[in-house]
Amino acid sequence: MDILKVKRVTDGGESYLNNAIGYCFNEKIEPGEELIETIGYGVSNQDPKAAFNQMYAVKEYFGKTGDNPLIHLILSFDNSVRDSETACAYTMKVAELLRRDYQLEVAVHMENQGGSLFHIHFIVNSVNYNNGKLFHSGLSELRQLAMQISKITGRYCQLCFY
Amino acid sequence: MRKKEELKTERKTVLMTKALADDIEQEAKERGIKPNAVMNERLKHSRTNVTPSDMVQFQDFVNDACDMLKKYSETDAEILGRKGEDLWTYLK
Repeated sequence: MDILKVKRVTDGGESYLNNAIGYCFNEKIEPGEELIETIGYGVSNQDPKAAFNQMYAVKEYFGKTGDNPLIHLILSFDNSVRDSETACAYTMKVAELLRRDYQLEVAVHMENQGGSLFHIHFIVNSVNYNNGKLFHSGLSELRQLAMQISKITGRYCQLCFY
Repeated sequence: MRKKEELKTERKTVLMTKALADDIEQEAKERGIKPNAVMNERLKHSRTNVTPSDMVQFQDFVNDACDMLKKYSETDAEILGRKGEDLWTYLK
């Protein structure tokens, strides 16, 4: 069973967005944790400052710089995912679900967390780049996302908030 | 919470042709937003045709190009990436 965690932080504004994107590029995370890959969708995958500016530019374009800055999703694969190639392949497929409407910075981390070897951070710009609408992170939308992830992996994906 | 300066508080009556009104309503329908949002976007960004959607596609292209180039030269890939990032200034 995989686990999709939704981290809800509604304050912090620009600095929270800046820190979250920076975290995706951070090579020295925690002891025992390793950055496998950082992937940008609609944003730079080389420079965290540029990625922040690109997400902020979309917010400014639609006049939505003051709302909840990002959605932070963490997907922990179960221990059947044993290698980084498989983890990255699943990550790209899951990212396809979100990138149609939102910019994403994605980090693939390897860390033994009670059986789970790989987890993925998805930092999602809360503003849709096609129409300026805000990401709906309600229970039904996130349950639907978890179901779509289940279809990709072929395993049940449990949703939890923290 | 929405910033005070980003709240839409001013109401104006604007006369336009039927064709333009239809065009705005059609775009709103296609994008799943209100005609008011389409009108605001057209007024606010009247000096450029570049949209966030264009820039996102462009950035994905830059990322792919950099990944391909990185196999041959990491320095050149970084330079190309920075040049691509600079083009975001066209989104106004």
